[in-house]
Amino acid sequence: MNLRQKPARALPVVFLALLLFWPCQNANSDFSDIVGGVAGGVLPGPVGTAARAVIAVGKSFQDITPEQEYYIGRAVAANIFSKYPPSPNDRFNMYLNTLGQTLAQASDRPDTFGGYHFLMLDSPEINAFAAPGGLILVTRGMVRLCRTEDALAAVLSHEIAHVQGMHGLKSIKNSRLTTEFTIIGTEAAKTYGPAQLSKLTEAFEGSIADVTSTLMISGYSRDLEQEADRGAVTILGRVGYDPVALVVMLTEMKKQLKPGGLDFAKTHPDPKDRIDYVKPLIGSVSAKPSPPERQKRFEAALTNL
Amino acid sequence: MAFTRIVLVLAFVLALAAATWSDSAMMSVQVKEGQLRSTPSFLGSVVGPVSYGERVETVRKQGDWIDVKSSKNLTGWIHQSALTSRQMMLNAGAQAKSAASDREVALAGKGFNADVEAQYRRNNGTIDFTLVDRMETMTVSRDQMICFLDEGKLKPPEGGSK
Repeated sequence: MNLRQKPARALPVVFLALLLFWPCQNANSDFSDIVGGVAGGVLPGPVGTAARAVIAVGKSFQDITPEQEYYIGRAVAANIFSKYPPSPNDRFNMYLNTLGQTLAQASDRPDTFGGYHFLMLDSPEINAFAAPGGLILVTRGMVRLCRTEDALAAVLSHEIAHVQGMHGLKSIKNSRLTTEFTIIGTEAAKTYGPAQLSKLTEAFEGSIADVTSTLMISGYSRDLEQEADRGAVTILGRVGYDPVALVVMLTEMKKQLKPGGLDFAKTHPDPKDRIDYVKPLIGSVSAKPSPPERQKRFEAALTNL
Repeated sequence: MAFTRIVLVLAFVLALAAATWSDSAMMSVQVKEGQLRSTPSFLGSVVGPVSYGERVETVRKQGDWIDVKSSKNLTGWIHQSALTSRQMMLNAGAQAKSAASDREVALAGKGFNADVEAQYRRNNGTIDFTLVDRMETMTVSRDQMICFLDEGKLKPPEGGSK
């Protein structure tokens, strides 16, 4: 536990320090905008009048507000952290956030409730996870598979596309959402009573289990993976990265992933199948060399990984 | 000849209407902290903040960006993913009874919220949110993004325009 908490406490301080020395930093950093873990100003106030009309205020995952998605994503990420420790390499995490947040701005959904944030997990396993709302975790094993910044951008863009398509939320069983939406419609008090809070928390726990299990064990459907790959190709193209890098990464994964493994091999379609549907989207199969400046900063960020 | 001219004029007007969406409407900010920008791009300088649930008046649209006027009379561009056409009820009390059945209204702070997360944390003592909180402090400024793009010989992201 201490091993996890120490880097956690040091993270913001080191991150701030790195901002000061990062070659690509200007005077204004957004650290004045650092936010806490809750949506302060809009949370319910003291108890109000309770209404008892039973009305479901939504039907499916599409009715989950970005604010609720945010809380689901936080809990999913917290669950992933209980299985994987974070990487203490703050220089790399700074680089990962600069790359990832820039890519996210080019997605069709650049604004989520709490924004996109990235962190490397200290694991040799080849894996990556996108918690709803934009908390994206990628293992050291996956990063080490990347030979260029374009390849790493391809991995992150695929995860961003999962967030954009709200794929995690799609794995929540309808019964959990029905419970949630009905309580919202039933209980009009500004804060929930113990019974409502207990029911809501139960639905929340179920939802977190649904999403976490999909991310870590069962994986998304082939259709959603295709959608994420298509989204990744679009994002890469918009920022100026070489979309062929996605094919390069998939080829590398094909070589490195062990069939029957518990990582990406378990939760994703065979890389060869993914290459087959990605190639026609790109229309080219030869990777362009990265400009020297881009390659230099990528290699510098990966030093001592 | 006159007919061709009319068709051309009509085509021009239609194209202009499509390019400049000027239908004024009210929308709500659906992100924790929204920012209005001077140009329809994430690389545009920040004009000022808009807060969760704030109602904004739409002025025009360009691609996925919407030019809005805030309740504090600030005008600037914001990406459409930060806005919803639903009205946010921030402190839903008794009013929520009628609002709950209205699909045009979203109840901010209801459902899965900070109270539910707190209860979840009490029920699952071993799940640690410290790292999640730390992750959320990792933000990258517009200036850093501009520098990162320039240094990497990349082009500015179009911010979702198709």
